[in-house]
Amino acid sequence: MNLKTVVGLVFIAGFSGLLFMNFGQQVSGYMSFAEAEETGQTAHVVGTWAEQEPMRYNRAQNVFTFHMKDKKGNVRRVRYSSPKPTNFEQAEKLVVEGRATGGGAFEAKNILVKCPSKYNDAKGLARKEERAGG
Amino acid sequence: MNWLAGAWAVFKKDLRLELRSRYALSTLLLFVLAVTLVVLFGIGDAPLTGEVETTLLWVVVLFAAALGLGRAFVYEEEQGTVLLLRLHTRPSMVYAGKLLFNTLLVGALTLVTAGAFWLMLGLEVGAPGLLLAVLALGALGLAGATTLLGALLARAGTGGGALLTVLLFPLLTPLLVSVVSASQKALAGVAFAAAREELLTLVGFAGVTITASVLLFDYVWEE
Repeated sequence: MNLKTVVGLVFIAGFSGLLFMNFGQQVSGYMSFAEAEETGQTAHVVGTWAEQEPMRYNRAQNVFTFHMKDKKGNVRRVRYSSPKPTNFEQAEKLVVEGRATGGGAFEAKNILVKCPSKYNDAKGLARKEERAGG
Repeated sequence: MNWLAGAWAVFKKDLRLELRSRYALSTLLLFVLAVTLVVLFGIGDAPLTGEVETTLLWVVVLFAAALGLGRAFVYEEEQGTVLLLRLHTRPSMVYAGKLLFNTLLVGALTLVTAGAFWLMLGLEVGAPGLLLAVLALGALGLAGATTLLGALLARAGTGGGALLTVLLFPLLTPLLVSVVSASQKALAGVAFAAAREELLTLVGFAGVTITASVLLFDYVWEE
């Protein structure tokens, strides 16, 4: 192996590391609320339901409003033009898909509710029962 | 002949040939104009979002590039000038010269396409600097990937056209995804930092394809 090959391989390794790390992040596409507000585009935001904030469903307009806390701890009001998803209160993680509309609000087109498994996660089950009871 | 002078001579030769025949220039220009007109008349007054506009923009650039870039080496084979180049220059000089020429060609192509969209479709750009950076990096990556494949294609002889498509399009997926996403952000007018991942992906892509091409070109070029 001559010098050119070695240098070339090092360059390829470096650049492909840069490529794959950034491309992976970009494709997975989970953002915080702040980032979603910055881009103004359709975004996926992961977080948890902020239970202490008000939540309601307007039957006349078919709008479900709640507050969600993202991974960085920012709380935003989320509007969702559908009834409340089933198992919403039991969810240990929420993924909302939509765009930030300004004024601390987020318009969700879709909500994914991630529930703890019923079968093998004893801790998750306990938490679920506690919440359902309270 | 030192390396830089050699590469520059290959580039100048290609540029002069292109300016004389205007084969690639006229084909690409007409292609871009035709597609923009189809979009203009087909869509009419319907509102176009930034997402749709950038996607259309890069579809046009991709197909125009696939149309024009394979030519660089096919031309040498057709004219029978390959042996002459092999005698007088080192392979890396030929690669560098062709890469420079192809980058210039794709760069001009993306600029013309963006300009045509801006004039005819009323493209609104929030962050022109970011868009220019994205266009430049996209052109470099596109040229980096197609220059080596163009050399392969020329060696494959007839039937090489299908080879280019088969090899090129899967290779370009990360480039195209990032470039479209970054252009959308540029239209929305975000700061450079918000498009950092896309820009770094593009730098990585151009780096990988160009380094790999430099290493592999010797084997493609010499018998």
